[in-house]
Amino acid sequence: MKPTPNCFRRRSSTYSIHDASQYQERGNSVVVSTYGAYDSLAQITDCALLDLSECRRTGVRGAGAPKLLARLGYSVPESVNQSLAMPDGTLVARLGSTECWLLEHPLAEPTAADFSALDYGEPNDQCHSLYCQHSHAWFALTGHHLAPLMAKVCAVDLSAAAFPVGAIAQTSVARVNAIVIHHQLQLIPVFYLLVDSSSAHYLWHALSDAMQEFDGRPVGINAFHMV
Amino acid sequence: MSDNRLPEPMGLLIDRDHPVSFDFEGGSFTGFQGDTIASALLANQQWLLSRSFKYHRPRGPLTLAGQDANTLVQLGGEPNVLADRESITDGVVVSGQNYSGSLARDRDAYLDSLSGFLPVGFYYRAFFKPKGMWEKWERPIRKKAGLGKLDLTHQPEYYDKQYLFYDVVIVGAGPAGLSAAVTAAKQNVRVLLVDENPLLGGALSYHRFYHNNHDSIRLRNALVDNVAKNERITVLTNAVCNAWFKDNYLAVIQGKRLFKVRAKECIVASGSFEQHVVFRNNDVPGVLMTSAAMRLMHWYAVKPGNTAVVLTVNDDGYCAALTLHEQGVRVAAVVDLRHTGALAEVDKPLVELGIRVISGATVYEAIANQEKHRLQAVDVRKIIDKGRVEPDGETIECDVLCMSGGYMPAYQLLCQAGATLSYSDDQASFALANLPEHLHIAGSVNDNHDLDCVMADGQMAATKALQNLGFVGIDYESMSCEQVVNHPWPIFPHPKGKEFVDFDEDLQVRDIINATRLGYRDIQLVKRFSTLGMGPSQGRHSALPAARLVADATDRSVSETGVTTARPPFAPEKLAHLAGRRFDPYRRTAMHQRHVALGAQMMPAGSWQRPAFYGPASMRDECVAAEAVQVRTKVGIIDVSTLGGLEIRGPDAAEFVNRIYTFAFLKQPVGKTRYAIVTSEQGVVIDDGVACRLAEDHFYITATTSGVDRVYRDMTKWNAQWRLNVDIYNVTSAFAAVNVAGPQARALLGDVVSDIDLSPEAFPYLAYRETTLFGAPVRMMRVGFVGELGYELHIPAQYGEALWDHIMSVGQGHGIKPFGVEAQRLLRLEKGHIIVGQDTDGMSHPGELDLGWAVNRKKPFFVGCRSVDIMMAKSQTRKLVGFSIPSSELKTKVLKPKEGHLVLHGQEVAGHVTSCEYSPTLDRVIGLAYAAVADSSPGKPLTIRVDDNRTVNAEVVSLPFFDPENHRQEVR
Repeated sequence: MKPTPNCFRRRSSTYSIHDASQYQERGNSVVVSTYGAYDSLAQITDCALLDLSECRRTGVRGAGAPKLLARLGYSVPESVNQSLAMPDGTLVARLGSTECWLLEHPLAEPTAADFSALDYGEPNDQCHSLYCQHSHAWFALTGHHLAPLMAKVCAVDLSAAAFPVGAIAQTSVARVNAIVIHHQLQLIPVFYLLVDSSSAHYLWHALSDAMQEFDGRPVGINAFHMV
Repeated sequence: MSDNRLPEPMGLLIDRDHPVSFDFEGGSFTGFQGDTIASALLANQQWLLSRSFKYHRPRGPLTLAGQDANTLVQLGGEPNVLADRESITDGVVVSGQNYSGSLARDRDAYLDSLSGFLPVGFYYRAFFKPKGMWEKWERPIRKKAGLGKLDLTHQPEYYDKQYLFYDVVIVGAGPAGLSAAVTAAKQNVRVLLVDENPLLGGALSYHRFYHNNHDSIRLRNALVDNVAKNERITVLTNAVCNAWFKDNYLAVIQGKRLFKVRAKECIVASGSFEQHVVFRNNDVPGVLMTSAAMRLMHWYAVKPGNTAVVLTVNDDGYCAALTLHEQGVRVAAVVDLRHTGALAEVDKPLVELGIRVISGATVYEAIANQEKHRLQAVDVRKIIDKGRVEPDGETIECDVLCMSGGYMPAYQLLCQAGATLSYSDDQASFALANLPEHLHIAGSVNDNHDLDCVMADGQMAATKALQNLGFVGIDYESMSCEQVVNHPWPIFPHPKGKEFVDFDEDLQVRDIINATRLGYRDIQLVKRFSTLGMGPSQGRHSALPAARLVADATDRSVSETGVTTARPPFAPEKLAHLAGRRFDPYRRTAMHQRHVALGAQMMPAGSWQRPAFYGPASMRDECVAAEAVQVRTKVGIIDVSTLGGLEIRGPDAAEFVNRIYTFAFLKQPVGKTRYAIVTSEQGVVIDDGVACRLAEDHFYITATTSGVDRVYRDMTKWNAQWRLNVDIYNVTSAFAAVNVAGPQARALLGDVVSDIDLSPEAFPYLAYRETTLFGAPVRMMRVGFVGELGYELHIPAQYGEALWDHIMSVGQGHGIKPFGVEAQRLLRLEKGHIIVGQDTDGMSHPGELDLGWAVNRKKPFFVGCRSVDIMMAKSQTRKLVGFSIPSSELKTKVLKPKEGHLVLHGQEVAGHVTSCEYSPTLDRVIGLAYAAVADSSPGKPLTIRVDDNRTVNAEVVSLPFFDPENHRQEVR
């Protein structure tokens, strides 16, 4: 049987958007594998939107957060609003002096990143874990129109010169608080957007509208395997 | 196709291979792709484009640059389209506007002959006395007023906005702007070049720079080529920079998009507006600016006429005469206001061509043909003094008159930025000074009119900008331009008037002078009294002659008189540009799809979408009542995910919570919840919720749906001062939550969770427990907001829908049904619980709300404690009370009080209704209202003014309305 969101207890706040899609299992949930014919290398290279909300992420906060992550083998960016990719693809995003988020590599095996030591718990008396898997949806905008596309919804200069790979902007996108991370997947420019999960449905449509000018479309995660 | 077109290289903008047909005033016309409506009509000898605002005078193009109101037309359903800006497209239907009958035969043209009875300010003076007169006049005036017709069936179109970020933004792509762009881009900075025209080059694309013998076309091509090849330069054509805001925040409109531009450095090279000469009938179609005639030829290859007269105050008129002659227009004369005439080198080519030059003279009157639709001749007189001419002159036949009345800098953006505009009465020249940092000026707007100076000025401005950006080792040479282009008094009043100062508003010389005689000496007052400069052209051509006239009439200099204030927008803009693509965020809970599937009517709660009730909208009252009865008799479930959630962690967590909330929390046991209210520094209740102590150093606190953001903000603000060792975390979206309430709630949840003893003894009212479902942690609270045995279950949001499904599935055997916000509000009202924000306002302190029990006065401090003490020590003027009205007394629905209806004490307003609903459980209307303290005791009558100014008598009752002993919480 093909997996669908309703096969699992855990569902993203945006799953209802992807009605006509095909899914693939990921952890205890599903991600969109394809929307059909438009999922292509050309599309993600040019302009595409992915919903990665079911990919794993977690976070730690508190004075001991950087030390804890270091103990678990993660490199923590030296300055705030910077991100670093680990050898296994996990992205460490430093959102504050005492707050870091970990985002798994969306193309890695679902079991590759083990965040269980940080989930729902009190991993250390100097920090605590965050509910960012639930509080935030995770979108990825890809392609070569990222800066002009984002300029339609965000007042911050996100051009490559001002916002290089690795940079993080905690800002407002289409009047919704969002964390924007400049990253690369398979050498394709990507902006990760982490947005309040309750606003995800709204923002998905706002981004879809903004990307029409660039012939942007939503694509499934399989498109990256075409690279 | 008309043979009125000139051969190439004239016609930079048109594509002669692509003819375009369109309709104007019922007739069919053909132009070329690239033509504007106006240029295509002029190519077809259609000079009458519109009727003037007040006198309905025939009007033709004046500037051919979208800078005047003469070319306003109706384009399909869109009024007030600038015909000299809008390109033609196949099949468009264009018509004139502001006429009765037809454009050619306007029945309202008689108003022109009544101008003597319509003096300046007549609206203000004629229609307001005697009392009531305005009501009689208003209708016919409104019928006559307004330009064009709105299409009320118009469907909204897609307009949007975009941010742009550049190192250097240059407004104006004329020679100064182009040279600035090229200079700046050499240093590898990001440059944005904005121009309102469809092509680059500004005056280089149409003007003849005679003096320096420059080949304008070659220079323009070189500059444009240089810009096009440079990847660092972005060009926006057909784009108007409509406003300058602080720190170089620029509003640029192009098509249907508003660009919000952030510029580190901004160079305004906006050029200057050619000015008209003020003489009788200077508005007859065929009288236009010299620059307009040059644009007409160079851009659109349209021959302006057969015989031209050029009226000039500078050498530009001579250059234009040469071009007119070269393009086959007979130049009957060049009339130069200057007694000295032009320099010999300027004059000589005209003499050689046999073109007559009349110095020290002016056109005193333009003479229209019999239909008054086109110029036929001009009356030329010798000037004998300032504004005075010889009694007799010479009539010269011509069908086009080109006016070169000097230049006024396009100062608007700069003055928006705070620059000051000064005028030299001796030189009749302008200067702009006091520019803010990072804003520069270049070109003719900087009073440079010599092409070499203009180019050098552009380079200098760019160099200054680059220096500000940190580039070193680059420098510029200061330069100055001596070219004089203005005449001190190009104004020639005529005894019969109609010498227009402001074409938009049909203002003549005498209108301005009369305004000063009526005491309006200040130019700002003249503007408001006469409507000077209030039309679409915003004083681009009227500001200077009006300032001169006011200065002369009030015995001051033009500098002392000044010009009117320049405010955004620079050019007319549509409301659609401001509205643009709306960002109207909404929030949905994890269970949203389930509510929709169950037929919920969704309602906004702050930015959230919540189910109001389940069922058809037409059966709202029945659905709400049924849902309420369901909760009172069986069990119901409501999605409460929208409740705010805040986590306070750390060694000082209890101390922090104790300072923020009014109750005592230091000794709150772990595993217990406690009602918590927040007051502002003014002692006003601003939020409430439930504080759960999860651990000694960990609190989970709920807040109201709409109040959580403020509470979170206040918490972080306060702790920035207190420096307590806590972490404050807004987890509102991290958790989904439901409230399962009703007599069957315990039995139902017993089937949902297996590892918690739900008995009243083990899990009493206000207790907190934790369990696990689907491998996810669940937080459970026994709460009583709706006045029934109830449990809130909070689960990480991605499991929210599964939680709902599970409870609904298990609950089938218990008869569970969902209930919405409306039923919840009714149930809590029956229980007498307030909703902060609905039953409170900006003055509500705990005493008014009977919440004194929730304020601990033994602890030394909480936010707002001092104010609460002061407020509660004062004698109260109002109190929130419960009232009820037996159903039998409400004979019609109209009489049921609504939220906001006034509560009276005698004839005085004592308060208002905050909540009111019919209670099916109690079979009466119940509500909360602010009443006078004297009326607040149970049993007192309460008078409520409802709709239609009627009153209803209610009775004050004790709260709660339902289950005062709280038995329902202890049901087993």
